[in-house]
Amino acid sequence: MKTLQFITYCGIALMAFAVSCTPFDPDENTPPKQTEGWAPVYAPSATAIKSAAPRTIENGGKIYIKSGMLYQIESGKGVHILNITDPKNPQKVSFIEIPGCQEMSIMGNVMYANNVNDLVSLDISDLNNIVEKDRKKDAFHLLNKNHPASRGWFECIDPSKGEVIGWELKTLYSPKCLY
Amino acid sequence: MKNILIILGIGITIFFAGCSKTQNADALAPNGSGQGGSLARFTIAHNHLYVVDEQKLYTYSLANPEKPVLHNVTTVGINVETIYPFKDMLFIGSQDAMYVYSLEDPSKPDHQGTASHVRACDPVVADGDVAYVTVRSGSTCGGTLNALLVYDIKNINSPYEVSRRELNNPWGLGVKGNRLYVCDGNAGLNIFDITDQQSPVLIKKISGETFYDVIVTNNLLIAMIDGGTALYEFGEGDALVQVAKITN
Repeated sequence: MKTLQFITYCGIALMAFAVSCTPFDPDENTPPKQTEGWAPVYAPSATAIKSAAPRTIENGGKIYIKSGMLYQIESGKGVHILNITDPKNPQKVSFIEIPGCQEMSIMGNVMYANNVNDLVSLDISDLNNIVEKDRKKDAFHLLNKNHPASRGWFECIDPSKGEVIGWELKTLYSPKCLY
Repeated sequence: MKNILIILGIGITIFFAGCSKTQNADALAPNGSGQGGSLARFTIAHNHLYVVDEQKLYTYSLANPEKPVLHNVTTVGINVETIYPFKDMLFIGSQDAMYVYSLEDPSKPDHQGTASHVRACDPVVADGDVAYVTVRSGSTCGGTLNALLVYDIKNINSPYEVSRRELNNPWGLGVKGNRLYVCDGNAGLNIFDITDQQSPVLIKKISGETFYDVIVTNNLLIAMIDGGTALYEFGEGDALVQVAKITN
């Protein structure tokens, strides 16, 4: 009887394994020639959080608005701040350098953002002189350095380019890596 | 053998029509919080900051805004991607489900219900009764479904699908009144009439950009596009007039 039970359990385990491990059809596993997906952002080294002059948007990430200001993540590097009170004439105001940044939110004069996997609170009363007020080390696991957070095709990591500090969304051409 | 049932969605968004008014009010209030897009992993509600990473939901009290205090950590699921607050609830999207948490006690979100999908979802909710979910394929497993799904969520413990609309490559979305804006990647921005909430009608397609996400305010639609941001004003009828594009 025990043997029968054992065999049954093994059978169930094998079935579960078979279901979860159905091999991919090679035809369906061929990289698309062109698709929107994630590419790694590299940093030669992590730098401190600070205000900086407005800069070119290279890899525009997630967006946020508050009180006539538009905030756009520069994937892995920081946050662009633009005044859009006159939408026909948006003005870049400042750039906050936050290595590894992918996410942000604001309450009052405090911006919360991820500095890689740390949660930082920044006083943004003076956009030209933002002040770090608090830091929670290793607060979460927002950044996986091996693959993007979302499944699908992504641009393979090239270690010679430096440490991965973020993932940017862009059009990929024949991506080779899959998560 | 084709794995036709295995569909992989990536972006996940949760949005509430009922939210746009309060959110806009918040966006104008200096002491309040702002308004994020539908792809966000950070959100602020009821004086708390909520963060989702790949598996967990973190709750921070902002009683002292400069010093968040971690009150709660709970495991939500796997491949969690987005979070969106609506009234006294948090809607969390993962690649295979939408999770609903009660914020009756904002410092301790309480799991209420889950709507599971075939490996993909991007929920959006309007008026508390309907959730709009975008499903994007693009994958390992030969997923073929790219669509807007409409869920009845009157009973938050057991949402069910009431309709769907085929799309090309849907990402984030937003609602304003009886209009639903769905980013469809390089296929444009789709505008749906949701006068009948359970049955969206495609009335217009805005092309010219690769659209990833939108924030809709009273007078402006802010779009995350490939390379930056585009600003649109609302014109006559359902016209969207691009007034600025910031990509450099």
